[in-house]
Amino acid sequence: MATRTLADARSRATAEPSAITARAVSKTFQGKGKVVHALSDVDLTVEAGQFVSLIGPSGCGKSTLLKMIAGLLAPSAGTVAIDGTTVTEPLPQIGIAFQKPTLLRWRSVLDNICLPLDLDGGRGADGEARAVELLAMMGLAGFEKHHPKELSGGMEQRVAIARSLIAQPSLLLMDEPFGALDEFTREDLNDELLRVWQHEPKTVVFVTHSISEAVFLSDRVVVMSARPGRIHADIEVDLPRPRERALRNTPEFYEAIRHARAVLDEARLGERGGQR
Amino acid sequence: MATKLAPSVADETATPPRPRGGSAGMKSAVLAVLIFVAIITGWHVLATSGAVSPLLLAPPGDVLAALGQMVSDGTLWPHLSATVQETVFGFLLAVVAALVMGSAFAFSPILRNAVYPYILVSQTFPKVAIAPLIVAIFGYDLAPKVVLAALLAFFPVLTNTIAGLTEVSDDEVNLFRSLRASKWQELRYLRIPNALAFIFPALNSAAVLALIGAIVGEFVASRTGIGYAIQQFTTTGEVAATYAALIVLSIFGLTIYGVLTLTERLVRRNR
Repeated sequence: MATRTLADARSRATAEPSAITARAVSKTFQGKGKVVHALSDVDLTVEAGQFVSLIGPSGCGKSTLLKMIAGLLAPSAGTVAIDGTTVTEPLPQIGIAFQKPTLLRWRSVLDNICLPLDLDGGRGADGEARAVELLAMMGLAGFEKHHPKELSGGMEQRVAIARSLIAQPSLLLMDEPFGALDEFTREDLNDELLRVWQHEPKTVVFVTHSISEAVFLSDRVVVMSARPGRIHADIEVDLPRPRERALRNTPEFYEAIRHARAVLDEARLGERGGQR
Repeated sequence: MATKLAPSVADETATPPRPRGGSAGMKSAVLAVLIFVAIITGWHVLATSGAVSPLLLAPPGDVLAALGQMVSDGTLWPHLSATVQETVFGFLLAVVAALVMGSAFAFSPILRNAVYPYILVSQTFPKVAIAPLIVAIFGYDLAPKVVLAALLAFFPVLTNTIAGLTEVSDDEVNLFRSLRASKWQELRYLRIPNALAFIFPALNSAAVLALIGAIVGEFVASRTGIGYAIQQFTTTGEVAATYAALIVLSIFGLTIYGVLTLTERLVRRNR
């Protein structure tokens, strides 16, 4: 791991967003005496700079797919590649946010955000300045010295997102990051995420249970079905950008949600039909 | 844009900073003093009214006088010094051994699974019962008390070291993996800081257990130490001196607690 210099950080800031290709990816887990097919023969291409949501019923393997893109889980068959490099371990250009904020409780907010830099040669003055800037962007200016236990769930998740962005990843992977939050906080965080994304373009893969969240955020909503997990449909979301709060009250937004819901219902019905 | 976002954060409920001092702290302090006065008064009444035999309880004034006597004629110091040495050496021996073994077990599940049943057996075993045996093996001086103190103090530190180093969540491990952290970094930035929260409370119980071990050792066979002094005072019917010795023990216990709390604060600031 090389020491990051200021010039390095600059070049990273302007680094091109990453592209993802998953080819014939399957994943089976050996449970107690039975084999679980979490993913079966999944092909997925995400173009550089796209915001793609993975949505589907529980057990459809969306988190499994995300973990394989992250390099945290190896596919049983098939390959995942980021920018042409086959993923066998976590690649340096990714940033991750989990469903739980996973902040280290003994570190202050600022130190939590800087963790990726500390593990990669030290934060430096510019790293710390960027952390302060990100914190302000997430609406938490002035909370640098607080500790996680002093924050609400939404604030913790904001810190976790700032941490996932600190090293200027070209690919951001988010595993239901707002799943545990109430509707209002979730919408606030959606707005903030989009604003940061507009500010620093990057590829995003976003796993969620929420149809409206997926539609609001994404360029594409990939609908998955369960048992075995596979891709059921791939919906383009044709809403204009930049998207802001007001979009949620437009007929176009409702129509896009209605369409996505219809496709998702289809996926779940097909699954039930398959079981019969 | 930032101004638009700030209010949204204010809507969320964050824990307010704890009030420092203030009237609540003042009330607690006053209450604490009142409780102290009540205990001393109750003690005095019980001891002087004849409700409790003077062979069992001496009035607080006499105890204080006995304590002053021990301090001024110097008879206290050799006893205190012996007990302090036994406790501190036993405690340190236990902590070092437990940290080393705990780390080994934490990083070798094979070793842990093989050896843990034996540790469990020896943990549930009442070690005080083997005090006479330990005295027989190690003689009558410092060594058997240190061994007993260490034996008692060892297990809570061992189990909490193992727990602290291994009980990190999958998400935390995945976070470090995704950040391409080395095994050493995972230890330095995740497992050791996590373990400290487990180890420090264990050190507090270990210190108390080490003191118990030292006193038990002195009860079994010794020529010096607070435990030995208590035995002497009890057999010769010096009730006030017995209570004075107990007060010395509790002051020593409080001192250990204070030192550990300070150490914890120092270490936590630097993790």
